[in-house]
Amino acid sequence: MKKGFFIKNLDVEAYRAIKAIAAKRGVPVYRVINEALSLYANLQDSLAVETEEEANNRVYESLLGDPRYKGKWVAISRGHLIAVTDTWEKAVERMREFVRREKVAHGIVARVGEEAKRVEILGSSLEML
Amino acid sequence: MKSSAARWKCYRYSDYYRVLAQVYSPLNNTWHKAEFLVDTGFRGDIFLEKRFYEDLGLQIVELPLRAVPVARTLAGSVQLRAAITKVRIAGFTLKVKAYTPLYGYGKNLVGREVLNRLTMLLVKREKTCIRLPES
Repeated sequence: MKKGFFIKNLDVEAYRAIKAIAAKRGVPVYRVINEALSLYANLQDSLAVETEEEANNRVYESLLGDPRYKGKWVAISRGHLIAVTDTWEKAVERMREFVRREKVAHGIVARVGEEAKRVEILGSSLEML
Repeated sequence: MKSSAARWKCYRYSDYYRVLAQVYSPLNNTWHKAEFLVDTGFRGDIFLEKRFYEDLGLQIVELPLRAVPVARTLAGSVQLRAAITKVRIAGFTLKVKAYTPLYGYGKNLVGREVLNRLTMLLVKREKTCIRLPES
């Protein structure tokens, strides 16, 4: 007898669906489950969930080409644009209000279109890293 | 008659030239004290220990990745995170970009972009003095 596994708490509805597929194809249930497991393992990378930080950056990128937002301060959190203001202080205030209501791990407050400044760390770099 | 003598705030030297400053937490609307090394080799505003950066909640008001530079260091390039905040130093309140490394611990540094906005006097191996604003 080949080695098997006992798995608790399988979803009954999902198991029934798999069993129906196996019956329809005329193959054992384990074969369909093996196929499903292999398929999931192969797709794992492409199924990876977007992080909050990635979602916020994606929203920021989408604002760049829009003239309505150029030079404006924006607050972005949980993958949504939550405020467009004229000052950093107002954008921060709106973000603060949002954080009081929602659980937030990452947020963006930035002026749309502002480019990165050059940074050099020559004095302390060796100790710092 | 009003005196025109300059007033200075001084900080004791201890292995490095140091200053005390307060950094603003935009998330909590509070100020937090920290000691900074004066780093003339750092071309930027302020650099923070990663833990301090996160305690201030700066990851909630962060700049987007495309607006954050990669720092050039003697040890190679370092990917940074950055957020805008404010720093209080010797009576001055300055809006600054606060950086921390994406990986690693970081260190509290005050860089040239802030130093250039202050009048600073380094007394050799004794103290760091900053000229106070005229009231």
